[in-house]
Amino acid sequence: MTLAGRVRPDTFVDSVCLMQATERVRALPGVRAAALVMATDLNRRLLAEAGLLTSEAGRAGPTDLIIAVSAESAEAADAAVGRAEALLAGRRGEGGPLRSEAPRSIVAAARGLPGANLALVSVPGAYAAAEAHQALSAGLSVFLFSDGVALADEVQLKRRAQARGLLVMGPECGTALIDGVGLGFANRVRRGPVGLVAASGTGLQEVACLIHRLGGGVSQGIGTGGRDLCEAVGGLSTLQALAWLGRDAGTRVIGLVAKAPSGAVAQRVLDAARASGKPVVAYLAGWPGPAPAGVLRVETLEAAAQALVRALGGPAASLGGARGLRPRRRRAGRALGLYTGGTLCDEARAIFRDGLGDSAITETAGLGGFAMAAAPAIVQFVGGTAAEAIGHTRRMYEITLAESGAYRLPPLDFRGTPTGIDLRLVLQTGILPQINTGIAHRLAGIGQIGAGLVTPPLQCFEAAGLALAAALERAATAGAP
Amino acid sequence: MSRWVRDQLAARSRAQVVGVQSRACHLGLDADALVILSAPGVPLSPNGVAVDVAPTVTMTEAGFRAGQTVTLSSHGPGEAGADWRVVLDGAAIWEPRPVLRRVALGLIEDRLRQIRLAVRAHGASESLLPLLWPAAAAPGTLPAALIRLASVPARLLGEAAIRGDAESVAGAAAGLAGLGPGLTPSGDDLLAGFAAAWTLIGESLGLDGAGGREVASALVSGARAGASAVGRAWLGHAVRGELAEPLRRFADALFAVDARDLEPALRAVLGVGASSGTDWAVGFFLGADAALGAVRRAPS
Repeated sequence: MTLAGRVRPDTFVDSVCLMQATERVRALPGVRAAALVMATDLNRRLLAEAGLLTSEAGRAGPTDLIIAVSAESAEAADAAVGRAEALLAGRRGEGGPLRSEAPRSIVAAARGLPGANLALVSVPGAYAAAEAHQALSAGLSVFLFSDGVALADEVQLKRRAQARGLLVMGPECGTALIDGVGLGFANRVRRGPVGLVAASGTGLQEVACLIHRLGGGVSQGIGTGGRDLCEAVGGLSTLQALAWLGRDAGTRVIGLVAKAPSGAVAQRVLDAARASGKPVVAYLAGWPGPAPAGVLRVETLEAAAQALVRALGGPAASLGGARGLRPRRRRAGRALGLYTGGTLCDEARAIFRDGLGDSAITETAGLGGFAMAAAPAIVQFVGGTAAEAIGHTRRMYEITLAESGAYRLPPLDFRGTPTGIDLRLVLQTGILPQINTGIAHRLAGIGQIGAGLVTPPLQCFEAAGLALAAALERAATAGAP
Repeated sequence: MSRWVRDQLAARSRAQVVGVQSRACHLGLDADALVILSAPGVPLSPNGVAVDVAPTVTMTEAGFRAGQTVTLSSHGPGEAGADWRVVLDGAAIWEPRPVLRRVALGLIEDRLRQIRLAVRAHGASESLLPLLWPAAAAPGTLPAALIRLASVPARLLGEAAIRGDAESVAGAAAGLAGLGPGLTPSGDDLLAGFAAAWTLIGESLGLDGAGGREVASALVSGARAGASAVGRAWLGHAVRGELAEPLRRFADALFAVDARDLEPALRAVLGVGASSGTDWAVGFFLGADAALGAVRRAPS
């Protein structure tokens, strides 16, 4: 048995390389045992116990690396030590490079995929900024799916990306369509000349789908993140995306979808949209300002899709009335609701502000808001209490003619539900019927997008009162002798 | 970069390259403070700064050599005469300490019990794993010698920590520091895991602060002479509850309201290095046992 070894002074080799080198050396012909370890006191003792300590290794220091081999012959031992040296030096032809090539990080994946230009980051928010920075360092634009990223980190990431000619989509970017590839939650839509820039989710998905249904197609769908148009971020990604779409040969018209932008930022973005030199259709939910010349401002996502398809010069196709969102003329008296998020809900909220759903009809029969004392959970949607729920029901007794014998309310000592709205009592007291409403999307199948409390407008009762009075007067006149 | 590095650089900014790996570079700020410059893709360490290096270039190829001087600064030209200047403008600050919350002893016990088998199933075979589950190794081999040398001090470490016997803790730590394979020898990883569990679990269970800190200090002082430079640095961080990225995720998951991320996080820990993650996890379990034992022993 022959023992051979070498000491590499001040050598830092990571543990995986050490392990792989050790395994390869142990597998060599004639080798009985091998160790590649740092020369700490205890490791020298360890080697001594295993019969692997050479005299040179016995004098090594803790920052040195010991290579120790026990083999059947001096030749085998020397060859093994030489192989270990070569492996640590990373020479080729020594059984391939050390380290597994399976990517365990964005950067490792980028190394294995030359020409990659985008990374998708989806990790818990606390780590997302660091991962995104690493992707930017590797020359990759970032689709940042993660939420919980601090605003300051978002600003840093976007500024750094901009300085490198890269783009950060997000954080909390739920969807994008890049060169026909869907990222996150994306819809399969036809490719075409419409470029879209949107916050990050439902708005982009909805407009892309509507364009598809109207016969158009999408060149690029770029998400920017829900906070991109706030004052602190300043629309960094939106401005970049608009500039890119302006230069993109595959994009002929641009759609801009946003919600609640900051005033100054909205103006800057609209100016950039105009500067793109291409027709732009803008849907800016909750922003009251004017659009500059060259930018068509629309009030619904549906109108945005139709205008974009029209801008391509094709016939104005119809959605067949399935969507048909139209602002109503009469305002509701009060609407408090919890919406479930996304641009669809911002759109619905803007329209609902001026309208009223059909819960008003069903609930006047003495169910829903009139019986809220028995189901107080509904007030939690708007931050209310059980006492308030009982209060709502008590008020309804003031404007109703009867109490239901079929449905009784335990919190009110089994009193019957208030039923039968008396128009005259509404007008006398000014108390409006309480309606619990679910807010459903107008397209069948999408389902509920919110819920809350609403009262109908007083004007309809006033008009009904006048009509009733006129009818009574006519009846009295007709019946007069 | 980690918050710890930012704090260190408030007082000094000049360092010396003490070691170069393929994707990381170790800098000594002084005898006790080590900073790691890591390339993109390397998990951030509690003493880490991630720097822009092209994905295909190693640190050696980039030109880093032991003995070179480096300045790390946010603005200005940096110190004259340095071989390298690391520009920290715009660097995001990362917190290496997990988010802790006060938890019940039983909850920690349950969660550790749930994942103990995963360590056995997925841990590296050539590691200190037999300290948790005795496994036979061929006599006369390096693994067998490693376990034989580590088993007594590992047992004494836990017992001494429960008793609050700082002197014995230091002695046991000395028996583990610098022991075993790896750039951070297995014993160093085990001590870091032990320290992390002792600090974090002790803190979340309301273990006596002064007594707990005395044990932690003894761990550091006992390991000082024998541990590798990197292991010594990481132990120093671990006693303050500061962890590398995958380890922090594991600790976050352990103390989270919902335990669903715990096992995936543990598997990520076990994937660190060759055996480093497994050795750290073994140390964490031993440290957790000790912290739980100390809490049970403490007067209520």
